[in-house]
Amino acid sequence: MIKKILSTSNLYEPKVGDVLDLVDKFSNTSGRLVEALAVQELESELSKYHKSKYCVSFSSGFWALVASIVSKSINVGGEIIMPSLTYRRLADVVYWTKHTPVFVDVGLDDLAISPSSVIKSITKNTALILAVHPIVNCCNVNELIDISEKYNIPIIFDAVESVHETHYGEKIGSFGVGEVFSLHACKLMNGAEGGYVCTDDEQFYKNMMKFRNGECVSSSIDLSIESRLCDLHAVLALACLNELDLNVSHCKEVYAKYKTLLSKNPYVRLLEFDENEQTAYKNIVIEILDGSAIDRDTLILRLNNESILARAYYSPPLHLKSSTYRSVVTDMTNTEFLMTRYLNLPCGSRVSVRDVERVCYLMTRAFTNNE
Amino acid sequence: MSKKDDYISSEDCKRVILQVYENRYFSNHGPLAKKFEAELEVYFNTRNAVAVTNNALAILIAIFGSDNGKKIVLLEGFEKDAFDAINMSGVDFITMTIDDLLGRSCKDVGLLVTSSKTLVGDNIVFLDELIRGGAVVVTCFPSISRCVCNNLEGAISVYSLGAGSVVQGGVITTDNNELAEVFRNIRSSYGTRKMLEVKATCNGRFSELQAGLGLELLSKLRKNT
Repeated sequence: MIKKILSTSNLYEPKVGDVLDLVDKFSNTSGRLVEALAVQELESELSKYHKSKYCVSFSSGFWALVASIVSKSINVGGEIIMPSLTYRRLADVVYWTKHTPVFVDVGLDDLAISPSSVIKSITKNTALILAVHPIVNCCNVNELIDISEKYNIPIIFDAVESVHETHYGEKIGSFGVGEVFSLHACKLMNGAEGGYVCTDDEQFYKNMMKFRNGECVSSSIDLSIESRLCDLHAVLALACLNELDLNVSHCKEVYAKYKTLLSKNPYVRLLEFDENEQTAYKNIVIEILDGSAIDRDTLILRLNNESILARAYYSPPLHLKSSTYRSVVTDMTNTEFLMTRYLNLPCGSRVSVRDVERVCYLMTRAFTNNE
Repeated sequence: MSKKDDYISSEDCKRVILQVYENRYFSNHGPLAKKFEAELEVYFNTRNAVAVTNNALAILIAIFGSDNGKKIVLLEGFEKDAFDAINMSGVDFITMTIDDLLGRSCKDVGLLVTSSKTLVGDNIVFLDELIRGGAVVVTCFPSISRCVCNNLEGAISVYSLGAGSVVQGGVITTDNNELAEVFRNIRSSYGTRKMLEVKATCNGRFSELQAGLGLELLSKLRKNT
């Protein structure tokens, strides 16, 4: 029997009829899609959804981040403060902006960029703080914005996994400074590919529009590249936005099942969502506790052998990856403690409650067979 | 390219959406992208076609992946995408006219970036000699229509699939398998055949929706040729 492959990607499929209706909506009487109409509507809807003044879409979250850094950083060619325990390509994002990544530590409890590490890493060369929300809950937005204001260093947030979240009741995307999201198929909102930035800063918004259209951002910044979102990607994303409640409701059901079943497993700890906030319940992250008979990587291997595509959580951290470009590494005590303990379990629209039962059963078996 | 050639209708778009739903493959470089690249290889009679999310990024990848550490020349008459891409790539380059180049020894030129408009008359002979002398020539084409495809043997070509927001993308073609794999790895880990260490990746992933539209475009071009 072929085993169902379970992955950590969301892959949400909005109703196909609704997607086709949107194609009609954005078509002219000659039967052609009107250029950029769907993109404009998506940007308008996302602005409303996130409660931000402006939204600019891009061909990918990656280039939305590049555009944000180029448009907002001070000290051209300076240092970008960012976590090491994060998306494996984030240092490449910084590379294209011609800045130098400065890797800082994360908090032991929230796995989020540590505000105290950020402060310690600020120098006269600092160009920008690139804060990244972890995939479960959010980083300390208010404290990080305070640091940004106090030290007069611009900040942007990589919020690719935090589309639906709130922080102290405020919607992620509404903080005004520049928050970057992804529309990739594996994320909460499936636009197949794409990204966007929310901001209240008019100049920043104008600069990003120029960057995306391949126009010179300013007299001092000559970097830009064509990076507009495709209309069909915008159509798919709009359909997903319309069904976000359904999408989140399924993720919540999956999360609840994991929470119940994993509470019986003494070797693992589920990273719990803060239910005082609005959350998408999308990502399932567990920690392998001390005393477990098998380590994180052995467990992943055993699950992978069963077609369960569990993945190590941001492994290896960026400061341990080989690269040919310059970077600065600061104290990584927490990152190096955490880097072997966490993994992502299957989640998203294609994972059912029955699948969760299978994953948890196989995990229990993997641990007990080694006792 | 004539209007007739690149006419992608709303019905074409719907057909692509239905294909993606049928395949249930929403991520990048799935069955449609594989088919598109394979059909492009036949269409261009080349060993490798690498589809990239937009034209400027395709040029960026071609330049960044071909940089051999020697002098890089951007020939005047370049398209704006080519300038943005070479600027973004971070390589040191100089701009020259073809006449400047014709009159001097080009032994130190490692990489030449040019537009398809250059591929006329004696220039072709000159560029051919440059390639045979070991230089890499990247030629940028404004479309994939055969009427503009006057390819240079041994050169790397970058074709724009469209400048609008409906049909978008770029295609790099090369007969050099090793270089093609470097391009794929710079593009993203999606769609690679062998994992290679590259200086940096740039997320130029090609979506299934883009690939579906590309296949529609290719089919129309074949009918009209």
